[in-house]
Amino acid sequence: MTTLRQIAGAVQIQLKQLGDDKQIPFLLMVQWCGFFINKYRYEKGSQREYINQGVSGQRKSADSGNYLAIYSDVPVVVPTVSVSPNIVKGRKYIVLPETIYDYLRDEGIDYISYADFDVACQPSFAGVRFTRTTPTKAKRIYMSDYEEPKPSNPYFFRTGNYIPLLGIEQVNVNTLEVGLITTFNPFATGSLDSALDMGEEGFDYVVKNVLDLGRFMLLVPQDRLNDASETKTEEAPKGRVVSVNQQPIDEEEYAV
Amino acid sequence: MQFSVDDLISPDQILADVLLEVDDEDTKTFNHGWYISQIQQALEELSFDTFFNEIYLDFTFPTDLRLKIPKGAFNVKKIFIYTGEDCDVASQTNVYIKQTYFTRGEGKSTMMNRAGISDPFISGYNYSDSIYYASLQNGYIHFGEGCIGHTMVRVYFNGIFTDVGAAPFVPRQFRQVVKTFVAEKFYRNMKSRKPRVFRAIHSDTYNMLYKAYDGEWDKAMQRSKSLDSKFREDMGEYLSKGNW
Repeated sequence: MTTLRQIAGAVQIQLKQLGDDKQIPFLLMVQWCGFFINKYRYEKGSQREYINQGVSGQRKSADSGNYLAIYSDVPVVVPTVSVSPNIVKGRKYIVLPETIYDYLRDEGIDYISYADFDVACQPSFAGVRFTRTTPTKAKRIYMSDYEEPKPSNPYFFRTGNYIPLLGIEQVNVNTLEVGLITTFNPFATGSLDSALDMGEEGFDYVVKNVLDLGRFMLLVPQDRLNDASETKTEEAPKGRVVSVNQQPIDEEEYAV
Repeated sequence: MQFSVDDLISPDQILADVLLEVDDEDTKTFNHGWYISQIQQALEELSFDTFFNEIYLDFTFPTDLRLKIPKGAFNVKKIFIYTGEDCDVASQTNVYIKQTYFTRGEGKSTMMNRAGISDPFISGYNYSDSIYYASLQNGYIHFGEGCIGHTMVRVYFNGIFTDVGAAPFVPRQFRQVVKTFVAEKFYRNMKSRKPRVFRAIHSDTYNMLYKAYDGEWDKAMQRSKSLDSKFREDMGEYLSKGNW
């Protein structure tokens, strides 16, 4: 089990060997680790997105639940007044309980569901699942008797952290279960000393990139100054350059 | 085609296979309702092409002599009129089709006129209101005046199997063809999004579905049109007697 404290600490020790009189604060190291952990997780997750576009037609190992976080009992809000932007009176919504990656077609929201009233023994995610749409695409689904939003076939769309819901206007659904591909917060409680929330195969990526950042920061100011002293060459000739092949034009020859 | 209502397959049974086949298990490429709609459309097309769904319905005889053709009916096969109730038919008679007969109760128009009415091109005939006839036009069955006095109408027709919006349950004989039909529609839609990726698989699926004789659509047609055993055996008995 590897923790964020271990990785950040190891990188800090390595950087200390580059300049023993210099110190990069530990919290900064943690923040940098957070940057690259999130980038790694995003790119791993973006393979899901790539696959779901139907490019390969096959699910691959990236179709992983490693970064899936399930939130049960997310409350459904029924606003009584409109508050711009995004909150419209009477339009039910939920608020994302955690920050998610901004994948194409809102793939950061893996699913939103509630238990099917008729099938009590199924888990919620096997019950009624919300389908993702957008306000502009939603017009089409209202054209079809089969696809129009209804309690058995509800929809959601995303506006920032708000997730408005279509199709459950007439039924009493108080809470929903939500599966999200969440971001990593290095400063969340317990992040430092719990098992790092990423595949261990990606640690080299994080360490390498944090080391690169650290090395750049540890350079002395003179090293970072671009005075071009290392590439200095002889002065370029300032006189008129004349081709050795070009014959001088005898202006008198063309005189009339 | 004979089938038991207890053997009908739910749309979810179809989808469990189709979603795996088209690699859309999480129904994020197309939504659940879209798939259900495709199953419904498969049954519609099978209804039109195979006539597998045969229905009869009873109606109160219309006072204005016009009966709206039942919803879902597309091929009226028989029309009977009778007295009594639908579960206690007293006297019934067959109604024959008469072309170009229109009425809204009082008055009528028809190509064949009563004898004695002058028409330079079509001669009249001996007309009788006691002949039971009707015509099918504009979504209505128009009954002749001779039908008045009957209390009920029984219409026997081929119908579309499932109403739009209802859950389309599928006869087991058509399970495979419906699955392929939905998959073909999936790939056809995906082809417009990613032509290079889906052109080949759509072509394969289309061929699997519509290939002559070996295709699943043709198989479904053959199945639905093959005579039922009871019918076939009875017909054999009947023809072998030779004293009819």
